Amino acid sequence: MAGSTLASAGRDLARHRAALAAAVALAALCLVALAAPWLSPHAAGAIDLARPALAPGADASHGWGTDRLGRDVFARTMQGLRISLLIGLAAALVSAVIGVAWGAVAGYAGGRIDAVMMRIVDILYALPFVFFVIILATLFGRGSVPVLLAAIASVGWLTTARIVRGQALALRRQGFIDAARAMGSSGGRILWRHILPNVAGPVIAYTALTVPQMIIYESFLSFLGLGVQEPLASLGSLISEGARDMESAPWLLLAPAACLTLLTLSLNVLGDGLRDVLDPRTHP
Amino acid sequence: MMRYALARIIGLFPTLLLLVTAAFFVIRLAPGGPFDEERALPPQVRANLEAAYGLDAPLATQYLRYVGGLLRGDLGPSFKHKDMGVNELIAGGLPVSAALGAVALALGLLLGVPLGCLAALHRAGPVDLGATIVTALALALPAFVLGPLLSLAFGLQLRWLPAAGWENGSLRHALLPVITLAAPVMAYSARLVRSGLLEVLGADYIRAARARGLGQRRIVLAHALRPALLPLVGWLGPAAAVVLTGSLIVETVFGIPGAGRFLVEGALNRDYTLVMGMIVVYGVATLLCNLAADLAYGWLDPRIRRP
Repeated sequence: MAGSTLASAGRDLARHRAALAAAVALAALCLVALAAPWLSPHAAGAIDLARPALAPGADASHGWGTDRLGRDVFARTMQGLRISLLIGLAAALVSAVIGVAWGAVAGYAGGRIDAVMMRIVDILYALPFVFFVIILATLFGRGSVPVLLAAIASVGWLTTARIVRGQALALRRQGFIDAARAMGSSGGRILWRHILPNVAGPVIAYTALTVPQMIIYESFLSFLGLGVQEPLASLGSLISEGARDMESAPWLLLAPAACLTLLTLSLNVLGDGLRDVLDPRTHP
Repeated sequence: MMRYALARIIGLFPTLLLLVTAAFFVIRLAPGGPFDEERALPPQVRANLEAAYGLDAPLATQYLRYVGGLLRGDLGPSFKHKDMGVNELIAGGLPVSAALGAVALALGLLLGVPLGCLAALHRAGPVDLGATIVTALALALPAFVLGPLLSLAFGLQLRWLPAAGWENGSLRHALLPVITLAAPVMAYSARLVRSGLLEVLGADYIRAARARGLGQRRIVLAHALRPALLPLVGWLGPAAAVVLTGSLIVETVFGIPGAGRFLVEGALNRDYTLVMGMIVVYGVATLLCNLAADLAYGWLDPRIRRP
């Protein structure tokens, strides 16, 4: 059943013109980012102090110009794009797993367990996100990618938990769950076999919309100097660098800003399309 | 309604206490301390400093002292800003941040709500398409991208407005920061109002109103808009968080003397009381916005008020 649902969702998505265009743009962007080491003669971190702050086009081999240390802007922006994308995808996946587990257990257990678990979610919602991540970053050292990932994912799971909990709460009263229980299925088996397949649509849709959020969060932290550190770069740290030099070398800001905007725009539009297709609540 | 509101207000205090407690102990778990300098202090000086700020007492005692001070409205002394209390520091920056945030929130809603209405009423027409494109762009341009880009375009290239600075909040200086903060609010509210209105316009009682021969304007303003605003009102709590984190960026980009910088600066310096003070302020602000959203929800939709 799940297979045919996904297949029909795929057909619906192919008819969604905006989502299709976004998927094509996204694929092209990812392809260029992955192929960048072979497209550019310069390595991302290669310093060339003889050619600092070249404007785009001033040197044929530096199509997007260079930064103050003579590093190729194209190679560095594409490296930033790869890192931002990687952290965004991983954080969205981690937060989806935590959110689904938390919400499914709370909703299926119900009663006091549910009340306590969702109260925790409410309290975490009230925590200003930045503070939470700053604490994590200071606890375990700045610039560590796993810490960054954990910090970002720790905020993303809250909404997933709420969505899944609501669905699980509605499902646990239904006849087929009672039937499964009467046939001796354990709680874990009911969650895995009966609850999870029924929440898959909204969860996939919401997770797709989480990816751009996670990318923005990561870049936000890197912009504040709390995220990815030199010599590595994410789009956020490149934008922060570019913003400092934008008076003399605006291309240092424009290249990563354009890439981040295109990335989040295509991910958002694709995510909206997925939600239209997968989430029954948004069907007209 | 009064009892409902009162119960909700009392319910805020345990949440706030939990927040303060968790934050207090997590911050103290972090390695390093406020008196770690490049050059190590002589042990006696360090011991005196720690005694003067009460850091030599057991952690539990320090915690009780902090909560006691908090109940009297005292956020304690700052460890890094000499001779300054956290109250004074925050009182210096918060009015700027709050004014900026409030204006941006209001502007975002003033632009977003009508835009969402127009898009819903002209569904799939050119207005709807335009609104979709504008909101999609605004959501893809976070504050740390939009802020520097606006500053570059209107400040450095066109020279219409100052690229940075504050000058006590003169209109020319405040315009770009306010636009940066208002953009996501506008986009979210337009989308929420559009989808809310589309859902309501399909309801039976709207069809009934049409059947009674009411005009479109009357139907929208008198019958459809109020329930259609519910999702937007529910979003107001998170909206406060959007503006709060955005203000952190905007204050950095445009060099605005607000309170946002204290959070990052305080955490990096292990200025325990300053970080705690900012958490209390942000926590209270978020909780109050959520409460306001809940109360407005109850007012718009009487079904929720039932105990």
